[in-house]
Amino acid sequence: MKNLFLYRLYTHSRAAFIFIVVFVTCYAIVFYKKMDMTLFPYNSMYTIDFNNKNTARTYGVRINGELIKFTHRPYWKKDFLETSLNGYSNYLNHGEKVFLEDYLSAKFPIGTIRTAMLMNLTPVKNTLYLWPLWFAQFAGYKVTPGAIVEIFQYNFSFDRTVANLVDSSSIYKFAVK
Amino acid sequence: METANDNKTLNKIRIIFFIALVEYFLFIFSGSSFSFLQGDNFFSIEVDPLSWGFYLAGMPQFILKHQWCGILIDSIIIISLLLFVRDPLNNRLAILLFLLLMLFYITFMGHMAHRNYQVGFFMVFVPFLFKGYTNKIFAYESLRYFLLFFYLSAAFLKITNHSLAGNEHFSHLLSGQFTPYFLEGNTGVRTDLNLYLISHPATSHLLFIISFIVELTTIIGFFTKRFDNLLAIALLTFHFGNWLIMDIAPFGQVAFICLLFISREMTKKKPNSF
Repeated sequence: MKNLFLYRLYTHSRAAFIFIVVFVTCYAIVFYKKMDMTLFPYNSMYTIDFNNKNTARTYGVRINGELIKFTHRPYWKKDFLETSLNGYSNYLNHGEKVFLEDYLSAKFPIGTIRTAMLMNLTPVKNTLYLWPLWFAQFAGYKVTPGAIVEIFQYNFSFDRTVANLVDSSSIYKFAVK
Repeated sequence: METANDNKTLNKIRIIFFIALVEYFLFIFSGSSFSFLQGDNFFSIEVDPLSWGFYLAGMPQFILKHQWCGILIDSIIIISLLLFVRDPLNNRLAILLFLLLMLFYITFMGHMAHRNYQVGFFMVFVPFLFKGYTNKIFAYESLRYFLLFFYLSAAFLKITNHSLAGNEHFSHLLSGQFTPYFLEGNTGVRTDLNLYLISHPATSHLLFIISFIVELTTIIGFFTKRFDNLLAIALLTFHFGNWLIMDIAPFGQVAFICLLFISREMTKKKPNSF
């Protein structure tokens, strides 16, 4: 009993003991509700096979038809370019809304709280249509006025030895002024 | 003799934070630290009070609007990390680094529109936030349980979600890991391995079970600290294997896992140099 961590902590500092008990309780609730938070991570990575087949979807930005390539970049830059493009494409595919817009609208029906939270917790919409330009520049590409910027969705299927590009479709297109 | 051991412990801690320094340099050298994200106006965060706090205060938005601010914070982080490697018992530096790296983590993940698992990136400083030696030890022990639970919960969720039952589970999941590489035609050994594992579900399932076993073995750490070195090696191997097979690099989590290498030293009686 005297060797138990919580007992030793209790004898050392009541405040620290209470903090740990509250932290563990919060973690247990969050974990039970299957929520994933920075301080209470729900590490369910690769436990659920949502797709249930050997197919995959990815996105690519093209400038005047030329695909922006980034997989040769060092890890964090490559990861940021890949994942943020997926995030932006999901935003486009969901009626130009991020997840929190739906969540806050459902949880906070009162207008003023919702408006205040939406203002800071979601991106400002009026310049978001230009995000692919930032993406291109971040990836090291120059975009000149008059260039056509397009985001494509690509579907892949995998058979025994090859990755097959099954189809692609343009989900967003604009000309740079 | 005791002083020699104390110095050895301090040097081990210094190595861990040198790894943390290298991990932050990887953000800078790859061109994705605060200084380089300037002008990114798209972000998407989840239901996470910690992220909400920073975004409600407008901190990530302000930093990414003003490049001077990003460069300043990057510089402060690097200088503080260098000083901290020299003096890892300085709790003021630990507090500063904990807050700045937490801010960076929240900003990076928010603007990436996806929360990665590398919380160890700033959590590694938790034991060193406190001035008193005993407080450091208790904070270290708490953090150690947090780390162990992080991996053990992954094994637990694989059981409750019946992930181990279907032998094509991992082969399906691997399908999405290298698609940008295939799209760009940037293929090589890793994409060949990816295709091999997709087309050989039994082999990929075996790897999945091995990763499950590694995660499950962290349960030992709840009962004894004797095998912490082995657990750390197993977890690091698991993460670097993930990088090879799934293109998920462990940078940001390496220093955090390395804390397991000092568990024996962190439970001894107070050393002279602390």
